Amino acid sequence: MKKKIKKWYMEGKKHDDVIVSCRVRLARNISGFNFGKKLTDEEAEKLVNKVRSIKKEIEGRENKPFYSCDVSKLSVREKNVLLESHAISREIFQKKQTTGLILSEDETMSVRINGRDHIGIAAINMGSDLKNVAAMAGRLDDLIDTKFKYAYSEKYGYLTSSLTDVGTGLKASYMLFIPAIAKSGNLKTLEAEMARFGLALEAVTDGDRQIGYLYRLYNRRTLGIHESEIYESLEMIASQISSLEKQIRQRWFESKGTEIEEKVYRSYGLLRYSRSLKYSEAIGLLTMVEFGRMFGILRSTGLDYDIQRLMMEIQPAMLLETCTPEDREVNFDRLRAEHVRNVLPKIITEKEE
Amino acid sequence: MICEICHENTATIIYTEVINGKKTQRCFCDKCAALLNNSGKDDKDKLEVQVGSILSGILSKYMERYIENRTPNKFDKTVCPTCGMTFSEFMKDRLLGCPDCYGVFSMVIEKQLKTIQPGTTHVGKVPINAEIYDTETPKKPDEKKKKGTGAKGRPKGTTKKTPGGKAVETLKEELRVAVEKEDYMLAAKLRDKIKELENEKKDKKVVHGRKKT
Ligand SMILES: [Zn+2]
Ligand SMILES: [Zn+2]
Repeated sequence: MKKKIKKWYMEGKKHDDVIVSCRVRLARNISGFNFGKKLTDEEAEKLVNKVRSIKKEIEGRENKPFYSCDVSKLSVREKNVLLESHAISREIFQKKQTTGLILSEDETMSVRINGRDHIGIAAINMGSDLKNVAAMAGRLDDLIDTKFKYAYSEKYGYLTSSLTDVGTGLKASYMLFIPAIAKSGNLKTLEAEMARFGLALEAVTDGDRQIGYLYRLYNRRTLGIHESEIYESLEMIASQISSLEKQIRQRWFESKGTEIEEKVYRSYGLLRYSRSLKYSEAIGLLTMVEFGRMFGILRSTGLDYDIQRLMMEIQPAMLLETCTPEDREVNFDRLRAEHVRNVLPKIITEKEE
Repeated sequence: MICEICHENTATIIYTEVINGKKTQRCFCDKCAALLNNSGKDDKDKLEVQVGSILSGILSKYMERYIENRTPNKFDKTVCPTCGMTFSEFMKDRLLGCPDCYGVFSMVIEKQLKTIQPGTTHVGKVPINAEIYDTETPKKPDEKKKKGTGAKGRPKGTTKKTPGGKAVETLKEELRVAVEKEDYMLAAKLRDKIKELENEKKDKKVVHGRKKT
């Protein structure tokens, strides 16, 4: 993959301190092929090649370059980079069968081939403009619709391998940064509330570890509900969570200002001078620094680079991609500390007295 | 709300179950849901509570009971003629093997959908070029081709029917029922939806069945 292309997560501050990014995924299957569970290796290869062949048309329609590959033939490291930047699903990452990907250079739009369903159309972007992301996915869907015959039924809509996707095949989500809600113990109540709206709130993990107070809010229902209703309920709930998070943060700051200030400065100091940083430790410290910036204890330099991007970059495979170390033997914790030391002072500084 | 099983913890999973038109609200806490989810299965990651799988786990319990009570052996022998999926295979992780599986396992699928989805009839985006599958009747083993195709070879008698046509008809039926039951909130919603769909059809400039954004 070419470097120096501006990816969506490098967009700097486009988010509102709570809603980090939003994503839309459409599950589609092509008639004439069995679903994933019953797809033979031979058929899988045929399917992937067939879908990958429309890359040029997608480029023409979108008027920007796309990258296409056989994911199953990539190295583990390359696959990890794609996974960490949300370009492929864990399902595709683990699959031994031929799997494919068509990905725009800015990584906002993608077509994932032979995951749980034949085609997973995805669009992602920083900020909370879900409508725009939905439109991007919709365009890809419309184009693919003209090229292949989707499996569809008048009763159940788009047929998918799981009953949790059938109908619209739509899963829309917001990535939320809600440390205050999480620490305040309100999360369980909130999660229960979500169920009533047909939504779910789940911690973002890298398989087993939770990543930095990031939560994904998504729709559980896909059948008997119109796309626009799904988007509306998500937008409404996300903005409510956002204001709740901000309220709790404010209350916190008012009651424990001095304590928080101390923690913020200590975190900043550790990040600036550590020689070795574990991933989870770094995420915790960066969260405090991000708090500090939000409360005006620390100051953003105005550089087009933010903490959320740094958090993405310190994941192992992304770290290798970003720093391209010379040595073959890499100590991730040292490399991570070095990267944070280099970047952090340039984007966050102490408040001028 | 308190968990209906342990009567102790706050319920985190709440959903409305509809069985034979009767609505019951069910509520479980994480722990009890995990227990329900894992009983009978030898899952290695017992402690991991995955929201998605909880629901299907609970459902599989209901389904097992449902199947026991009705036709103990009838379903077990059901096999999808297209992909070879057996009933027990489907029940294991509730993933279907091909589009024809919907028709083959339709009895069970309809029941499952009623508990996890707000409706069992699709509303929303409609493709232009799709292969239309009949998901209500099981495909017979000797049937060579699926019932109809989207653009060219539609099944006889439905030549003029657009993919969105059925949706409107079904909505109208739902509307009638809603009015009968005096559920005016739902009725109003349905009426809006029907109007929207019909307007889209009239407006020939708009690609068929799609929502303007
Ligand atoms: Zn309980
Ligand atoms: Zn099948």
